[in-house]
Parts: sequence; structure tokens; C-alpha cells
Amino acid sequence: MKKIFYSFALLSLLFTSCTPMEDIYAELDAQEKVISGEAIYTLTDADYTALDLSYGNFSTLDDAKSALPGFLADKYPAWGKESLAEVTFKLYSPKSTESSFVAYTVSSADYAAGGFTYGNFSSTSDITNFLDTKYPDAANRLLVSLTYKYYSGTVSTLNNGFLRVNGAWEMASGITDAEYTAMGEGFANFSSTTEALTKIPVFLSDKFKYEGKEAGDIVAVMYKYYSGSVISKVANFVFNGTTWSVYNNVINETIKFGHDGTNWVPDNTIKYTLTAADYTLVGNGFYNNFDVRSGKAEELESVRLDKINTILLNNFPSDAEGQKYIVSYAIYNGANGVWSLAVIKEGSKYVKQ
Amino acid sequence: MKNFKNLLFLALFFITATVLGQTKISGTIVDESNQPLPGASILEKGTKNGTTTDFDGNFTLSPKSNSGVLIVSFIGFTRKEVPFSSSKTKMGAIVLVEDAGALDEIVVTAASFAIDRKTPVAVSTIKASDIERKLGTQEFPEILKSTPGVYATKSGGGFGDGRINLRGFSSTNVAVMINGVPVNDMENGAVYWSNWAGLSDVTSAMQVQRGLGASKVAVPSIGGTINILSKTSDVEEGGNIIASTGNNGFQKYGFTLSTGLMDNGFASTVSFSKTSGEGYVDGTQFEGYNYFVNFSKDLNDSHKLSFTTFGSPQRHGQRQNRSTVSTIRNAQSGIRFNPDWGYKDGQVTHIEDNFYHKSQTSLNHYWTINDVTSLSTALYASYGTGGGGGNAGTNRGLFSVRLGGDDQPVDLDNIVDINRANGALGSEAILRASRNDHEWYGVLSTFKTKLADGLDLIAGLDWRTYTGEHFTEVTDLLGGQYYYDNSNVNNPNAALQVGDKYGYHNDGKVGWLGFFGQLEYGTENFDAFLSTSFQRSTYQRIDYFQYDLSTEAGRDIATTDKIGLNGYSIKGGANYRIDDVQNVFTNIGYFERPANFDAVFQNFNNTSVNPDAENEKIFSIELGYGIRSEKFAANVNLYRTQWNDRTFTRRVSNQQGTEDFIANLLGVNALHQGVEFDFTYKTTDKLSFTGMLSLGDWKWDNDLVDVPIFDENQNQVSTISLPISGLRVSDAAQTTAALGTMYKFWDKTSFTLDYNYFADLYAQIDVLSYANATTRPGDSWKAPNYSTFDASLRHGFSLGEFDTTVTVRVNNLLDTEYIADALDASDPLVWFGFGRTYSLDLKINF
Repeated sequence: MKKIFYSFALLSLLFTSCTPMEDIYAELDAQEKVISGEAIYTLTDADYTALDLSYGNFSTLDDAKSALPGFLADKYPAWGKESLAEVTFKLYSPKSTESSFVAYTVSSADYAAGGFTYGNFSSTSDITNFLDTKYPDAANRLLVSLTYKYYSGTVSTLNNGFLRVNGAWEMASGITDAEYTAMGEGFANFSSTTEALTKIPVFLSDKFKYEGKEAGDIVAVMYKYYSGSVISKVANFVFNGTTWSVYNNVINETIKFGHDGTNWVPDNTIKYTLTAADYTLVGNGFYNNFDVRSGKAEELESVRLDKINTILLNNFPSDAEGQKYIVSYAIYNGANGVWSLAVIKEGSKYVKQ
Repeated sequence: MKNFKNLLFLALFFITATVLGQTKISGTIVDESNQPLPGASILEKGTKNGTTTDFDGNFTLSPKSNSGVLIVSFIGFTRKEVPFSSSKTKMGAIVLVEDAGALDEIVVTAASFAIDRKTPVAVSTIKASDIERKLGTQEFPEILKSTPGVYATKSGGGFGDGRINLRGFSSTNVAVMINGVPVNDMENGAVYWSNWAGLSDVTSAMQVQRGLGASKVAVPSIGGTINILSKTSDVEEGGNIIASTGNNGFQKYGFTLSTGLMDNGFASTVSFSKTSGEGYVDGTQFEGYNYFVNFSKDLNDSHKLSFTTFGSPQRHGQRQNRSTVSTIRNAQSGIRFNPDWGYKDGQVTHIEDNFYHKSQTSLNHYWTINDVTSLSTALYASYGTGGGGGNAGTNRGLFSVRLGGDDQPVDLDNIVDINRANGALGSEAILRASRNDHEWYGVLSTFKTKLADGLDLIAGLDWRTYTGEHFTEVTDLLGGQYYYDNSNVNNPNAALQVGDKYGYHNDGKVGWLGFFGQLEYGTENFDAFLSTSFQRSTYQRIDYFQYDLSTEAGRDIATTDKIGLNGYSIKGGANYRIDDVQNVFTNIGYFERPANFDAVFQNFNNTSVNPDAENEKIFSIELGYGIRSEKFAANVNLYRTQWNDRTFTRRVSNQQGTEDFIANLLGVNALHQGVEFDFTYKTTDKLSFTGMLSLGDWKWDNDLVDVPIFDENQNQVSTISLPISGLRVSDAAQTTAALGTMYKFWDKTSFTLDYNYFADLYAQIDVLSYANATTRPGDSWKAPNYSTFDASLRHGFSLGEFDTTVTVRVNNLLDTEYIADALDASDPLVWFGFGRTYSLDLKINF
């Protein structure tokens, strides 16, 4: 009888506690394990094909914003919340060129009629006002090669192109006679468009060598070439950081996406890890971490948020409102670890997202 | 059983002496539950002729006379004299009755061993044979896990990193005594089991006295006392060799050699072993040695000298940091995951490790002055050297760079590359060791005399002097040219090499003078004692780094005054044997103990001195009831231990904010109460059961509400609240139970199965961290209840002429995953217990 009792007692205890971790593991299983990654990616030709973009570029920014989240979800299928991707892609961004052409030199009468009592223009709006008066019914893509006097400290005579685009005038820099000479031309024009498009990039490198042009900058240039008569044309050139080339109506655009737990969404979030200097700034320089044990200084998230505010405001004083950060910081809770806090700038401070 | 014993005596009495010739006497020594007693001594009375029993309790002896008397003794059992003669050479089973008094009484007195049914304390005694059978590769304290009130774990799982809590109190509140000498750290009271990693080999008996205990000297016995008696010298010439293997490359080899008791009264035993292995937990490789030497000499009938030295130098990788359950679960190596190691140059490198050698040497003098008076004196010296490894540097984040995901080893080569590239800028991340060397000398002297019939007086002296040297040293520059340190004002802007000290360097000196006295009264059925002790501790701190030793003023402050603190105790108890079966006892006591070293020298400097640190006060009362019958023995104990004025200090500024001072706050109290039950039940000669149930109710007792703090001018400068009333005491399972069974297939072959159950384990939290908490804290995280099974099988046989024993053990038979240790946090940090482990031992006696 006793044996039966003991056996029963033993068995009942065995079944009640031989899998002590069962409940905790079930709880963990219920939680999604999130992998948070960070990528910088430039779309390849194959990617455009896969996205059914036969021209190898996006037509509009909105197209890109709607297509890329799906693309990223395929590209990084395991990634979840707090992942970040910076995607660079080609965007179709056409620049207009002329379809008709007229050359005109502003006369003294024109200055007088326009009320330019000094006999010159002194601002861009002076010029566009004149052109609006002169060509009230200008056809779209009319190029006016305008020779005019312009005051900027001293009065000089300039020749620049003005292209009528959708009811507004866009300026295309002209090339001076001296510049044609510098490019080895006997006359102040090119012999062919091919010659023009070959020489102008070299010319631009020289012209802008002291100006801080950045990759992606586009300039419109009006040039003359001789084909029975002298004709002016507009061409656009793009800078890639070192050299200029003819703009083919496609620019590189970069958008940041963040993963919100379900989808990739356009996002300006910056991932930031606190540095030793940051910890020092908020008085945690000795251990370079936040002590989150109960009763310790940074136990409460509100305290940590305050310190992170101090750090971000110090490091990035010019952040615009709406700038988001995921701040990673070292903690001590008995063991060393890394925690993170997602914040967004609202007004003059950062609040928890 | 009693009848059997009487019959045996009767039979022996009527045997007439006849010529014996050179025949041999043989027999078996067993305990009351018929378990063999290996290592028991048999001595022919009046001669130096003796032997010891083999593993199965058997002995043979060639007597010098035809008839005489055998003296049978075994540590922890009543000594018995059994006549023999030529007509009685087969002695059969000789039963020894368990009783710590069987040790030399003088030893029992000096070591404060409790005697069953006599000493009024709750006690569990673990026999050497149980240790040999069940310990295996477990941590030494784990052998006690089936006794009530005990929670023992492997902590991080490194070799020797085990810990034990008694009745919910951690090691600083548990006294550990080895051969009567207290070994708790003199500065912080902790016990480091890795110091004693080999002690199990040479333990003859281990006793857990729960609650106040039987100790006469002042010890921190709030939870209880663990009393370990090492071997002395064996009576018989011979020895044994042992070889063990186990999981994860565990290997142990060792031998014991004894000269036996020689004609000149001299005896010596030497024991040595080596243990090594990879460790169950990743990155916890270890290597340890264990030595034990004892020389004993009976100078004459009244003087005996015994010299003992032992130690266990070891080095082992540690798992210092706990991880979250999800981290461990997602880790490639699961519950073996250890974040604290890496690879350097293709070699496993322990970032956290421990290396230590503490030797314990004593010279004991036992003097039987006359029939009623004795004096036992132990002169002892203990030297410790070693420390714990870890990381350091200005860029410790590099130790988070791993060879893959978060569950992979640390990429130390990466650090080497970075440090090397730093060139003349030195290392930005290094390995270091926090060293803690000490020297400890002491005298413990116990005088006992009979004042009147049944009334004894015991009095004694406990003097100790201790110096602990603390510093951190560079142990690996990890490829850099040097490590920059500017913490030593006597060596500023130092470019350090391996072995150089940095960070801090100081000595803690602790002096101790204690007196104790005890009156013991005993009649046929009744025993009582009344005991008191007084102690004075002095603390002194010497700092080599923070003060300019080239100036008079600097030297003045570098060595502090001695701060003296007093403690005392008074306790008493009584035991009444109702009949041959039942007994009841009670004990009650109050003691005050001084705050520890760090409470006096705060902030690790010589200026924040707190000479007025308050004593902690302990009041304990206990009731016990015991049954000892032929087949069934059981104990029930009820206890209530009040731990008052736990050391609680806060540093605050005075009203002007010009000066900091230390406030000593009173009233942080804990109440530990509970019920403990344990039994042994022997159903047949073959099948026996043991079991226990321990129900603890351990809580923090009260709140501190807006306790005002006054500066020296009695201006209130601050208030402290501590809302902890009713919070569960953490870090030990409050409910434990065990059930064990042993089945003997044949005489020398037996099987055991042990079940242990642990419940109500709350994650470790320091309740003092709730000071001025804005919200009322709840109990810390409760770990899941768990249970484990252990099994062992042991078989004895003769290998040629040698008695040989093979033991196989499996711990955690079902490979249960469970949390053994937890640290409270929003996501708790835990260490899992080990999964299934095994070991296989071979022991050959010669």
C-alpha cells in the first residue's frame, strides 16, 4: 500500500514539474523574433527589369515610393521593425530643350520703355518682365538668345538663353566669344552639335572649378553652332562629382525607408549609438552606460529620454522637426546589454515615438 | 534492531576464550539502517594492531592475542567495544549507532558537532559514504540539496562556483566551519566554495546545523552552520587510487596513502588528486588539484598532536554574466550559452575566469588533562592568493564584438588588431584580474571540565588576525604596447605591462578577539545548554593608490585608525527524550554582529569612514520533535528567525550642502519562519526511502516611512523611505521537497533514485535599492518551479586481491530545463541549471 502511495506521489510530482520552462517558452514563442537590419542599396539594371521598368528608371518619385517598399520586403524578407534601408534609384526627370529659336538684342528704347532708367537690367525678374512684355504669346519651348546689359557692380553685356517652359522662363547660360576662342573655335560658334556636346563638358569643368558644384547638379547651357547660319541651342549637363556629361533626363534619387513592423515606409530615421563623449556629457562617463537596475539613476525610461534629449540637442542642433532617431545605448542591469529608444523631434525636444 | 544488538552482546559475553592461532577475525560494520560503513576503524584494544573497513564495511584482522576486545569506531558514530576469541572469529554485522559523540569527544567539543537526540538543534549529517556515492561532478554544497532548508546551485556553472543558501539566507549569513575553524571571509563574510573544491575527497563528515546551531564561537549562523570535518590519519596502512570520467571531458585521478598507526604512535595520511574538464557550460574549462596531508602522533595517553594541511589550487573559466531566457533559448548552445569567453589566436580564452589557491594549515593539540578536564587548541594559518578575471579599458564595447551573432564567442583577435594598430597609444581594451590575496592566522582554544555530576563547563578563546590585499592587475594587453592608467597618485600617467597593478590597491586588516563559554547539563533523559560569546572586531584600511605617500599628510591618511566594533551572543536550548523513540527540543538565542568591512570603509576610500556602523541583530527560536524507531526515523522542526537592522547606510549632504556624511539607518528587518520535515524509512533490508519537505515563509518585515536623517547639528537634511514590507526574500527556493529511494540488488550492488523539487524561487533583488522608490515595489520575478531526478548505481567486486568499487551517476536524469538562479529585471537575467550529466568512478583500495 505504501509503495503504491509513494509511486503515485512520485508520478504526480513528476508530471507537474518536469517541464518547468513550458509556460515561459510558450510566451516567448508567442513573441515575434525581430531581426533589425540596416542597408544602403543602389538598384541594379536587373532590379528595374524585375520591377517591370523597361526604361531602367522610375517615372516619378511617387512611383518609387509606392514600388520600393514591396521591393525591399522581397529583398530583405527576414527584416522587421526598426530596420532601415537607404535606396538609391534612377528617376526620369526630363529637361526641356528648344523647339523654336529667336535671337534678340535689347535696345536702348526697350530699356526706356520698360522703365529701366539706367539702360540696363539689374535682376533676373527685370529680364523675365522684359521677356513677358516682348513675347506675350511665346510658344512653349521658345528659346530666346538674349543679348543685354546687366548691372552687377559694373555694367556688362551678356548673352544668355531664356527658354519658355510651361509659362515661365528658364535661363540657360550662354558662352562668351572669349570662351569659344578658349575652346579652339575660330568663330564664336561650334561647327556641329557633336563638337558642342564634346567640348562643353570640358569647358564646364574649367568654368566651375572653384564653385562648389555637387554630384547631381544640372546646368543648362545655350551654345551656338554654324549650319548655314548661326543657330542657338540649349543642352543640359549633369555633374557626377568629378566630371560633367550630357544630361540624359535621368537623375539618381535616394530615399530612406524604415520598417514599421509591418511595412517599409519612407522614413528619415537615423540610427545612432551613443559615444563615450555622449555618456560623459550626461554624467555617465565612468562606465559609459546607463544603470537601469531598480533604484539606480537611469532605472526610469523618462530619465533616459531626458539624457538622450540632452545628447541629441547637443549633437544635432539644426535637426528639423519630425527628424527621427533610433538611439542605441549601453545599459547595466546586472549584466551589460544594449537597449534602444526610438524618438522624434517635436517642437524643440525629442519625444518617444 | 535493538533486540538484535542485545542478542549480539549476549552471544559475545558467553563466548569463552580459546586458542586462536593465526586465524583472522572478520566482520562487517554497518549503521543502524544496515548500510555498510566504509573506512571504519577496528583496533585490537591495548595494541597498535588495527585495520579499516573496505567499501562495503567488511574487515579482516589478524589479532595478536587469542582473545581480547576490538574497538570499533567511525566518525559520527558511537564507539563500540566488542570482545573476540578464537571461537568467535566471524563477528557478523557489528552495528554502530549514529552519534557525533563517537568522534573523539574532544574533537566534537572543539568542532561543535551536534549529537543526535542530545544537542537541541536541527541537524542533518551527511556521511562520507553518501558524499562518495552521490556528489560526483556536482558542486560540493549540492550534496546538501536533499536536506531541509537548503537551496544550493551551481551559480554560473564554473568549477567551484556553487553557492548555498540556508533557510533563505545567503553565504554571508551561513557559518562554514572546517575542523571547527570558521572560514567565512573576514571582510565580507562570504564563502567561496571554489577554495574548497577538493575538500569533498577528504571529508569524513559534514553536518548542517540549521538555525542557531551548536557552535560555541561567534559565527554568522543566521541561516545555519555547515560543519565539515576532514579526515585525520587512517589507522590502517594502505590507501586507494581513484579514477573518474564524466560529461564534457571530466577527468579526475587521485590517490590516498596511509602509513597506518605505527608502534611509535605516529600516523600519516597523504592524499592528492587532479581534476580537469571542459565544463558543461561553454568556455568553463578548468583544472584543479587537491592536496591533503595529515600527521598525527599520540605523544602519550594524554597528549595528541595532529598536523593538517590541505588546499585546492584551481583555475576555471566562468560564466559571470547571466542572460535573458530568450537570449539563451535562441543561442546556438542553448542553456550552455556563456557570453564571457572568446577566441584569441585560435585558442579558447576566458574573459571571466577565477584562479585561486587557499591553503588551510592547522596544528591541533588535544590534551586530556584528567578524567574530567580537557583542552583542545588549534593553531592555524591560511594563505590565499588569486582572483577573478574580467575585461577593462576605455573601449570595453569591443568585448561585444562577436564571431557572428550575439550567441557566438567574443572576437578577441579583432581587439588585438585594434590595439596593435594603436601603436604608441596603447591598448584600449585589455584583460585584467581583480586580485584578493590574504593571510590569516588564528588560535582557537577550547577548555572543557566537569563541574559536577552532569554539569560541564566549556570555555575558550578565538583569536584571529587577517590581512587582505586587494588590487587589479593587467593580465593580457591583447596586442597593445601598454595600458594607460592614472589612478595611482604615486605613479601617475603610468604605461602598464602585464602584472602591473592599476585601478586600486589597498589592504584590509581585520583583527578578532572572541571569548566564549557554555554550560552543559545532562541527565538520563534531559540535556540543556546555555552559551554566550563576546567578540571584538577591528577594521583597518591601508591605501597605496589614492594618497600621496611621499608626504607626511598622505601617509597619515593612507593608513586609517583601527575601527573597533563589538558583537555578542547568548543562546540556550534543551532536549528531552520522552522515551526510546521520541524526543523534543527547543533553542532560543539572540546575537548581535558587527557590520562588515565595506560598511565601515565606504566608497573604497579612507575618508568615507563610518565608525558608527550599527550591529545587525538576530533573534531566533526553534522547536523540534524527533522519532527514532527500528524502521522509521523522522524530524519536524519549526523555526522563526528575526534578522533586524540589516546594515543600511546612505550618504547624504548636510544642510549647507558643504559636507557629506554617512547615515546609518535602522529598521530593515526580515522574518524567516518555516516548517521542516525529514524522514528515513526502511521497508525491507533491500529497500529504503528518505524524504524531506521544507516550507519557508521568508519575508521582509516592515516599511521605513519618511525616516528623518539629521546632520551633526541635528538639522533634518533628508528622509528615507523603504517600502518593502511583505516582499518575499529572494534568491532561494522557499519550498523544497525531496524523495529518495535505495534498492540493494545484492550485497555489493545498489541503486538509488533521488527526486528533488524546488518552488517559490524569487529572482534576486537587493531590497535596499527600493530606497525612496516612487511606486510600491512588488515581489521580484518568480522563476518556474522545477524538479530533477538523480540516479546512481554502485557495484563492488574484487580485482585480484583489491577491493574495487565502480559508481555510475546521472544527474538530472530527464534532462529537464530549469532556471536555477535569476536576477530581477524587466526581462529577468538567469542561469539555467545543468542538463543531464554523468560520471563514472573507479576506486581501488589497497
